[in-house]
Amino acid sequence: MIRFENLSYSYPNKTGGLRNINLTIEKGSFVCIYAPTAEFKTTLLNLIYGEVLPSSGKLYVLDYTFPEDRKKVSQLRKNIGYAFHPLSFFDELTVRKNLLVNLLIKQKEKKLKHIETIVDETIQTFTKLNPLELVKNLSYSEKQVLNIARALTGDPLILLLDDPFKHLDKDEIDKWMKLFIEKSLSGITIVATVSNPALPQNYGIKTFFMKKGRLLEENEK
Amino acid sequence: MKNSFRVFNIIFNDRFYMLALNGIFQYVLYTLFLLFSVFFYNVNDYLIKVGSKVTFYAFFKKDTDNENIVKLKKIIENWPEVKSVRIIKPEEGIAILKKSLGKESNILNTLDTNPLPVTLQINIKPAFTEKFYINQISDRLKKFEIIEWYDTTEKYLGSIISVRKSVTNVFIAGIVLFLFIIFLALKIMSKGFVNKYIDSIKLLKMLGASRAFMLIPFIVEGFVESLITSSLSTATSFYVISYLQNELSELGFTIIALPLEIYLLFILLVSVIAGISNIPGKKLL
Repeated sequence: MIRFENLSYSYPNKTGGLRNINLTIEKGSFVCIYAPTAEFKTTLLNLIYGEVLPSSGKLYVLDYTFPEDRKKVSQLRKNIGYAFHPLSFFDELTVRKNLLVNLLIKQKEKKLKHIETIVDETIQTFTKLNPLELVKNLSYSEKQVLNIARALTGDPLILLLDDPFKHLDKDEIDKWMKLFIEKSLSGITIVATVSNPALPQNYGIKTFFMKKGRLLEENEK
Repeated sequence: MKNSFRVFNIIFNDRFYMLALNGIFQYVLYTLFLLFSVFFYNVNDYLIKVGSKVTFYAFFKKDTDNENIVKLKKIIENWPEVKSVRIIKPEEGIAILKKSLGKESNILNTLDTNPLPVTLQINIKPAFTEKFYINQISDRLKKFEIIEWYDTTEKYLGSIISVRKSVTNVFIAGIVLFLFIIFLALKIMSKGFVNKYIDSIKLLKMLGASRAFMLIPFIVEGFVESLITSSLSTATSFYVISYLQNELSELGFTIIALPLEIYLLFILLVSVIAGISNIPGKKLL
């Protein structure tokens, strides 16, 4: 499903980067990556999403190989739900329209009515938000919930979550963790970055650690 | 494709005032251009007509009898270069002269007798207006003793040709300048659009919108808008032409519209240019 093969990545004008990453994430896995800030954990997710390309080595995501398939990124993204960090929305649009735009991009379905139904169900199931509320009026935690809900719409095969629990309360985090575990059991591959290493461990989720651009397992720390 | 337009309408829903301003701008620009083209087309047409018309005036000696004049007319009519020949009698000649002098024709009233001889007006076919043929005709006319002297309008051809060349050059330069202005103006507007929506476009890309998904609505909208405005401009230019035709017909001017193919080509060309220039920042996408 996702395979990093001797992958390195360095920013053009920055020192440091990812070094010689070798990792295989099978279909339906739920893995977390912990690192203190500025350890390139977002870069790891951006590589899977095709936002940045490996400087060396190979990355296999679904049926795509990078850097070779750089021009097929938009096709790949139709199968990936990504909860970005920092949060990014169409602030002048409503909650409903934000989700609708995402689904219109990802879905091949042409009937608007059907797409709107999915959006309404998503809002009802995953959030307590008012669909007609403008995003610019939402609090940070409400935006965070909308961010996750957006990533979940469109039946993604891979879910990328970049620090998804920031500013969420304990109950909310618990609710989402249980949902993610359920999703991974149904076959969705989930890769999440976290700023608290204890959190995934409490749920028995495999966690990797990033240190100086290297990806380490628990026993290698 | 449908979803692409749906997203476009959701994200850029406040673009309509820009669209309206753009439409008005295009309409004014296209209309001015079409009227400019019609003006040059008519000037060019007039110069072609004048340039392809060469006439000889052969003046007979005073005592030439009518029989010889008719005889010579028949001979000249059979020359392959000649389109038509007409005898202008002295009375008709003086009437023509008076008309051309206008208010100053009073001077002719002081004359006791008509000084004009019988004249042959020899119209040359457009295919034989080159210098070579004109010289040949001149040589032949010189041989007739009953002809006192002759004159030709050929001497004006050189200046007409050079005026035509200048007019054509100005027209071509005008077209190039116009197309450049359209492209540039639309590009500047599109750049303003990008600056306003840069974050939205970036986010669309992040959500997985392909290049085609984002570009097609921009191109189609630019194309359709220009198609409508250029069609309206064409209709306006037809209206202005018919108005001028009515107004100027009494003065003896006829104004002709451009050929239909030119209008269709114009509509298609500016629509394509507008579609392409409506692409918001290629590098961004």
